[in-house]
Amino acid sequence: MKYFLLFVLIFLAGCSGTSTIKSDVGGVDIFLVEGKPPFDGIYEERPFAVEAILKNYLDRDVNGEICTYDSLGDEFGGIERVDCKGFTMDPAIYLEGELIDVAEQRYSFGPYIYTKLPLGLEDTNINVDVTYLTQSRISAPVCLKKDPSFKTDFPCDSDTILKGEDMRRDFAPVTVKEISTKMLPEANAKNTMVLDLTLEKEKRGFVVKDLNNNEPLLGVDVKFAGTPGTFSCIGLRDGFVKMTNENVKLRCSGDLTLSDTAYVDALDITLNFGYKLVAPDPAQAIKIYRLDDIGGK
Amino acid sequence: MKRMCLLLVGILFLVAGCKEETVEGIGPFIGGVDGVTISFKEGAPITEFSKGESVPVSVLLKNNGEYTIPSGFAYVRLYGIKHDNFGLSPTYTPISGELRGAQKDFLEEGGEQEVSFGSLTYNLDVRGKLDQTLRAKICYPYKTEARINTCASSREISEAGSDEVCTVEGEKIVSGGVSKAPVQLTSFTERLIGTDQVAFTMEFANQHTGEVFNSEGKCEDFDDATTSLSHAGMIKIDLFPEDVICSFVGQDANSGYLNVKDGPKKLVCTMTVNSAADSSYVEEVTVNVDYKYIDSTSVDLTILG
Repeated sequence: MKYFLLFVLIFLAGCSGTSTIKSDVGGVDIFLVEGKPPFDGIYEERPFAVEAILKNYLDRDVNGEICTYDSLGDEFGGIERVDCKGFTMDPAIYLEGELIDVAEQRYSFGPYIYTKLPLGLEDTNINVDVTYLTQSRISAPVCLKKDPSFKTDFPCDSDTILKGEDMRRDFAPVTVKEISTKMLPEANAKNTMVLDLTLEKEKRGFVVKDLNNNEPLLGVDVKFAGTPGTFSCIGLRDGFVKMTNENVKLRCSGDLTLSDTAYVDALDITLNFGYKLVAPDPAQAIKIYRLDDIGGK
Repeated sequence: MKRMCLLLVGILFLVAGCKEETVEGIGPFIGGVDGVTISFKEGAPITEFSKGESVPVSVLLKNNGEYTIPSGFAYVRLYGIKHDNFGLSPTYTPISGELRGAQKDFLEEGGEQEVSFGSLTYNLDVRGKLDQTLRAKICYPYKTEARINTCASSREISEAGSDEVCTVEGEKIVSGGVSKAPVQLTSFTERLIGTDQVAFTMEFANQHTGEVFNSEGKCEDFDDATTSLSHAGMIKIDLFPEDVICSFVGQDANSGYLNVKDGPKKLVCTMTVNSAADSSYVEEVTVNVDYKYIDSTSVDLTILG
């Protein structure tokens, strides 16, 4: 009996799937290598390094920039201004939606040395941030009906709420959480569709317009795969929405030319944006030791 | 053990008792509620394919009813998807060649046809994978024929005390009295009215899974939200002999329309009995029902990016 239970436990453990765990930042994640920087303290005139590991959980190549910087002025040495490196990473490998392997790269900065530290300066902050450009694509089948009251011989509700499994969504730090659709009856051979979109951002990280522009602007494009029509959205300026909160709502409407009484077409939403993550998060002060304070030369 | 045996015997008797008693058909028809069935041919289309792949699409049609559909009168169409996205035609395709109906004691199986729609190809952007449902419908004219032996009697005859050849009471539809078709005459009863008339109460219903439309309408009209309204559920009924007069909406005649869209509908008709007859007699009433019928099928597709 004892062996049987042991066997069952082993069997269940074997059923638990792959051990690769997806990041909770929905894209590229950043980790600092232990001791780089040394969070237990930095000594004046002693070199220190900064090293970070990037992991790309996206299923596509990623281009971006990784930078390190400190909170002290350049007159004290350390990291002068901002030290950046461009990067390109391979995509993660997914098989039937399951993450199989993640692309990983290590980036080293330094060595850096603090000098001429003034009396009373007790700590510094050293951060590494990664900014990358990405795209989040959302696709959902929507039944389009010329007359919303027309009863079809198949399930076709033009007025519906799509969420969760109703949509196919890229793994990305910003996505569409919910789509509410409403079709107005046909007029002048066109149907107006009203979409209420709820965009959702991961808790960690910030949306940026691109690598050189930190404005929290996200490009939004809404269209049907095969049904002609252009959507315009309240809340969009030049195609961008300000994404400072975790949830942002957009109302879009478009005049569509339907080719049949009722049919299903794919609603395709594309979000174009840059995303920035900072490590450590939250910021962590590092004690600095002046040579005079510790009696060194 | 003995009790167990008794219990088993009891169960066997019970099961035997549950078996439906079959009545030998005495009408001229096979009977039943089937019309033409439509189904996608196995593997046409395959259910999972890649963007850009060319996938053949075909449907199989089988006439399970008893009416023969002449060549070019039935139409098939693919729908439920955006046709352009798949490179498919949105129009109805006429079926060439007749779809022969089954005939009692002669042709127990109806005719079959395969209709090819060519190949579909999905060339648009696919995000991961795309699930779509491809549907196909057949729109065809059909006819239900019923032959009912009615009892032609009257109060004059019955009160004269002459011999009764037949009885007025009871359900007049016998097994095989109505042809195999999706719209059925589900009930036919009689009663005496006035001095020299009998009244028939008939009930008609769509007994299959598809939708009924007016036989005069075009298949394209039934797909349109506005034009379909005047056609939906309408069946045309013709009765013979011609002196069977029915209360159709707007007119009393031996021919007219009834709407079965929202469920079974009753029709009341009268027939004047030959006053010269000195006893009741059997009069065969033929009921022809004409309509168009739409049945459909579907297949779930997964398009891989």
